[in-house]
Amino acid sequence: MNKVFAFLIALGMGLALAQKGPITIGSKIDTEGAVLCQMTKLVLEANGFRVNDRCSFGPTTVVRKALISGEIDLYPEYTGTAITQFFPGEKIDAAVSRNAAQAYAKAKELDLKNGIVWLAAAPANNTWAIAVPKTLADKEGLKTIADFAKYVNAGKPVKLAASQEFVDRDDALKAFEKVYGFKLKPEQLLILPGGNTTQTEQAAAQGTSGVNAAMAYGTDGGIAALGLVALTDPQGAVAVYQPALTVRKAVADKYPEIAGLMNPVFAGLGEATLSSLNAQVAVNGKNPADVARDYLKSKGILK
Amino acid sequence: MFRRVFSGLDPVALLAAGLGLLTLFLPWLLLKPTRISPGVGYAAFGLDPLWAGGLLVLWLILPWFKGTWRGLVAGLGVLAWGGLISAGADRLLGPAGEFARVSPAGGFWFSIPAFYLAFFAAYRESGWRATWTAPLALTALLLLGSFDRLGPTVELGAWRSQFGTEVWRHLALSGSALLQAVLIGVPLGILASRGRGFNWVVGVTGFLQTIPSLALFGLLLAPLAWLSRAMSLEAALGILVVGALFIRLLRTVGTWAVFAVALPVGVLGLVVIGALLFGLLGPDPLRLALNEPLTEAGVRGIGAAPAVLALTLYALLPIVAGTSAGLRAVSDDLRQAGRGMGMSPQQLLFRVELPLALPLVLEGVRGAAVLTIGITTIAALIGAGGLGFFILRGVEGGAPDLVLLGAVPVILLALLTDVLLRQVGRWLTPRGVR
Repeated sequence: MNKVFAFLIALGMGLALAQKGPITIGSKIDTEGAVLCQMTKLVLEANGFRVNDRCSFGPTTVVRKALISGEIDLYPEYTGTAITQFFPGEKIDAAVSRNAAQAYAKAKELDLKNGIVWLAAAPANNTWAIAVPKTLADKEGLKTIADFAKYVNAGKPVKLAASQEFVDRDDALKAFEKVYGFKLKPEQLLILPGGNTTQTEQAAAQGTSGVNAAMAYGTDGGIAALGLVALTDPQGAVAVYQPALTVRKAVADKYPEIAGLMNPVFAGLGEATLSSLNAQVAVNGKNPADVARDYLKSKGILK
Repeated sequence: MFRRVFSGLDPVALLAAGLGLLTLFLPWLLLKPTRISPGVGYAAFGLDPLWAGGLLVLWLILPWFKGTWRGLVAGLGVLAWGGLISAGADRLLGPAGEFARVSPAGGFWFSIPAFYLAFFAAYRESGWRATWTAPLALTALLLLGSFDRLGPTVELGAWRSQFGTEVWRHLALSGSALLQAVLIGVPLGILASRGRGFNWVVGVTGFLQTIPSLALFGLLLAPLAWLSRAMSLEAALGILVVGALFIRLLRTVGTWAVFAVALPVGVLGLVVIGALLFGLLGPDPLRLALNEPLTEAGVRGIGAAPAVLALTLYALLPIVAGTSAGLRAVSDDLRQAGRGMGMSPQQLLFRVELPLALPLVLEGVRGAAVLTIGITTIAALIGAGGLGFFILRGVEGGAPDLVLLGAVPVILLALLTDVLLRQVGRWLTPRGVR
């Protein structure tokens, strides 16, 4: 074991002289993860880091496990996911998860015990939402989920496409129903097993089996392209999902400059910005690396 | 009257022509405002009446030509097929917006089996020389860029720099797993054929196939991550050599003692050798440093090591089952004859049983190879890449064209492997067994 450590120290010293790193970065296999991952890679590389690209490599459980076991050094994660999934032993007040600042502070505090450091979160909320076709929204005057509740309670036709998770979780559809006072009957739901938001949004856009509402995420790039609008959640019924880089403490301590490099980048990623970047990948079919590079150049972060 | 028109015509060619004519009534292209939007279908005559008319005539006359002439007609048909799709794509995309996409639809796809049948009918009459127009026409279409504006090709444009690497990775992952599976599977198959006591071997390999890949990756991640840091390459290789020697000694003690040692050593061997094989075959540079931790040699909790391990386990069943079935099928008379000639059990195995069982063993290997090329798409779930990367991204993003960019090459690779291994099988099978 000592030999291994001695080697690691020697290796670290040897590399420190030449180049910083290598830093292994990963992300979940979704559009936003791919964009944020490429962005991080480009910024770190431009500042003298050697980067192993493991972007878009697996579902949440695998990526998180890879971070904990040191297989990757950092990846973008959502505050809401951390609060609802990563700390099963902790009793967290539901109100905390719905407040952006409190949710971030709680996730940061609790995850430090796991040896994970949270860098600054982007001011964008990629949370659960309900999207409806724009024609329906215009006709019925639907802007918020409160309007949607009125529409449902008036007995007008509705069919919501969603994943099983969206229907089952206490902090998704059930939270909307409780806060805004409506209840969807089983026949008003179309469950797409393992469904993601692109599929549910496509169903609502096409009107598949009478679907006219879809589970969606706040910063999905496809909502506008598919002719849908996302209904807002003025009362904050569901948890806040802000993306932030989660870094292994050992790496964050060794290279404190990572936070200095990445925090300003994430601070610039508001909801509108992130949606449009996601749309370039999801709707226009561009490569996430190209989208990230163009954005960073337009902001003068990359030369 | 009906009978008189069709009498004497080749039924396969008639079937091809019927299917071909049917495609002209199906949608050939879907026009979508963006890559994730729903599409509107356009049938052949709505896209380009000239090419569609040409195709109609060619399908109508196909049954009345024979042999090489039929091959020629079918070849012209392939050209018209490409011409139609290309002209149609130009016509639809011209007035459409910047992000509009066209995707091939039913008519385009069903033409492929129709052409296959047409060339098959020509081949039955005149052999391979009747089918040379197929590769010629396809090459011409590719050179003319007939498919350049179709959705999957546009997706390829966005991923061009990565596509070649992922194909290479895919082949390297499948190849490493298959090589390992043959090395273990054949001996296990021999073992499984030795009496009732070893029936469980096939059962265990069958059970391995039922483990969901994602669960396997989740279970392997932490132990592999630990192993990759705690053990150096030389230590791992040392354990493998000592373990192999030890197993030879334990054979006198009993089967269960052998397995108690063979299982952990075997798993370690699969992990280390699998990662090294992938390093050797794959696009990522292999670093061989004996006294460094395994992680430097590519053994990690994510990436190629768990992927190759899982694929190896999944590929075992066809090989073990094929080998054991082949050996069990060897008639006892032949074994008796061998023994009568004074052969030792080892000579009997290598000179009588295995040569006779070879066709079934090779069938098992071929099955495993085609299976592995297909399921290597799961490697993308653990960050090992391969063509599954495009499929996963496509499914996640609701972009069918991107799914096709991953799926079509997988199908082509699997078909190519099948043809190649059939040929290899023919060469390897002793003439007396054929």
